[in-house]
Amino acid sequence: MPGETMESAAGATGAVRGRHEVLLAGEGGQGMVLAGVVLAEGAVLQGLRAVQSQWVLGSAARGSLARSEVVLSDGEIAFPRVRAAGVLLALTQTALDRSLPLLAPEATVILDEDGVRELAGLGPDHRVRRLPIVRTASRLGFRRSMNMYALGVLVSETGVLDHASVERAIRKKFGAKAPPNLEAFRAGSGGGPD
Amino acid sequence: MSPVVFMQGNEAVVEGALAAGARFYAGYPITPSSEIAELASRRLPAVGGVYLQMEDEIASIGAVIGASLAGAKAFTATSGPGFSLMQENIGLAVMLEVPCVVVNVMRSGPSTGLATKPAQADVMQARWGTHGDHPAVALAPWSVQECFSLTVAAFNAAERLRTPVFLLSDEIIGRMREGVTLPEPGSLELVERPAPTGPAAEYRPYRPGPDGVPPLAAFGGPYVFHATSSMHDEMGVSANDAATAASVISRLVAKSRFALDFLPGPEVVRSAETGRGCRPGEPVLLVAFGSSARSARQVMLDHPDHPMTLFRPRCLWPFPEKELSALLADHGAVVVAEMNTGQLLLEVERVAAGRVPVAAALRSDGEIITPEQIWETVREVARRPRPAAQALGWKEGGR
Repeated sequence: MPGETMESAAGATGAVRGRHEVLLAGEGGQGMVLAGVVLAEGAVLQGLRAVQSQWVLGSAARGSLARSEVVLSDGEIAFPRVRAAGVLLALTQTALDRSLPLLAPEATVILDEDGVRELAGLGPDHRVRRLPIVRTASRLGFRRSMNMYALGVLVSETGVLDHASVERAIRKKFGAKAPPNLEAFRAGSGGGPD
Repeated sequence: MSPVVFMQGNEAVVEGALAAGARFYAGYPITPSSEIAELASRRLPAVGGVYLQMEDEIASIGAVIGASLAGAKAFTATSGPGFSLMQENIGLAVMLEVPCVVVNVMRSGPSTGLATKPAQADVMQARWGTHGDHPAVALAPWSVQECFSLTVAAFNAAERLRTPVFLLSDEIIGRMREGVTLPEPGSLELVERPAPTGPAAEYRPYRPGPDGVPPLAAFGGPYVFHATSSMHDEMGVSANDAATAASVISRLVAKSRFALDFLPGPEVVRSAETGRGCRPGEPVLLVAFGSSARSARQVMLDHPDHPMTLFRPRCLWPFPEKELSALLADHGAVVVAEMNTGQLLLEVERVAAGRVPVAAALRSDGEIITPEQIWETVREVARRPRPAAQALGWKEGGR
């Protein structure tokens, strides 16, 4: 689609200047690792550099931590892991607690309000957004694509990437299964029918 | 220009292998290398190749050697425990002079150790894991791009030298995803093993060619030969005399030196400040490979005002000692960073031979070595008093 290419070329640098670190964390099965892959691929499609790694202990069982670490930059990315994330999306208490040491003091922290109850570990300068992410995704019929709904929330809350770039990444990643995932992403980012 | 593709390091290894002409894989999946087996099982049959899942790693490397003798470019992938199991047959491949590529995505050991966590502790195993005097060629990628390009280089070296070549990746590089630019099909320079010419009756399977490497015929063709793990003469027939043994061993070992002529050399990255008005001997030379080199490079980006140079061997074995040696005189100290208790460090200390102080930032707890840890060591060596140049036998500012 030529129109799409031009759009992403126009936003090639977008909001990203220098190194940006993003954490997407949940429990095994919630798809946060994949959400990080899509985010990073979206960045590459937007002309940025990106590295994605994951923290998964063994096979990601329910209740265990599964976390994507994404580093975005308009320049060289040397260290591939997160040291001071500017953005955290956490769907469970464990996801938040285990990610606290990796947060920048002024990080934007997006929390699932049902999954995360205890906020004591957060600092005074963290910009905290508590939203019923899992519940809303489920209510809208996106239970199986909740991770793309959550990614939509992250992208619209932070403006870290162009929506179009992420949508291209979703199409590439999911192929024939892209439509429900695109719908979920659009619903999460406020760009689709609620 | 080819578009940037976003993929995982382990995936890029498979793409590199296919681009290099690999058409046979036998393996036993093991974390953190399993994606290589998974992707090879899908991609190889699609290009007319063969994927075999074996009962263990001993059988895997055996099948790879057999396939290579039958004419296929063959490879396997594993991690520490499997690499240990393969060592005996790796020696067989050395002795029979069978080209093959073994990918070791390093994880924490010993034994099953910290099964899912990263390490770089198989450096010496790659050099000396199989017994006896032998050549060793091991390449270490630091990016997904190099997972592709060094896999191609590994196949080329294996074919050219007729010896097993290792790709020493690690959990961090193998499992992370980043953008790569894949070359256009047909644009890569590929090396094929030397092939016999002339009448089959005159074929001497172990008579060295001009560069010391004998031509290799594929099993099943007109050139019939005997392959034995025991010491053998030019016909491949067992021979126990001292002269034969001396010539075979020296010829095999010389493959390492020959490899230096064409293997990817080390990358040297100088910080912007280095060489601009700072006295010779002042900058710190960082030596690191694979994922540790990413951390070492980050130290330079974090501290642009502190002169540093990164020396990153892409080829660990044979170790690029000439290139390292040439850099030593320009640097006040060396810091080796690696995720083990000091393996490449031994090689760097050997090359430095007391000319420059060598310090180490080492980590072996299954976590990635951080730029902060390396920076601490850099600051520490910078605080140390300089050794008197004369006492060390080299001239101030001399090259």
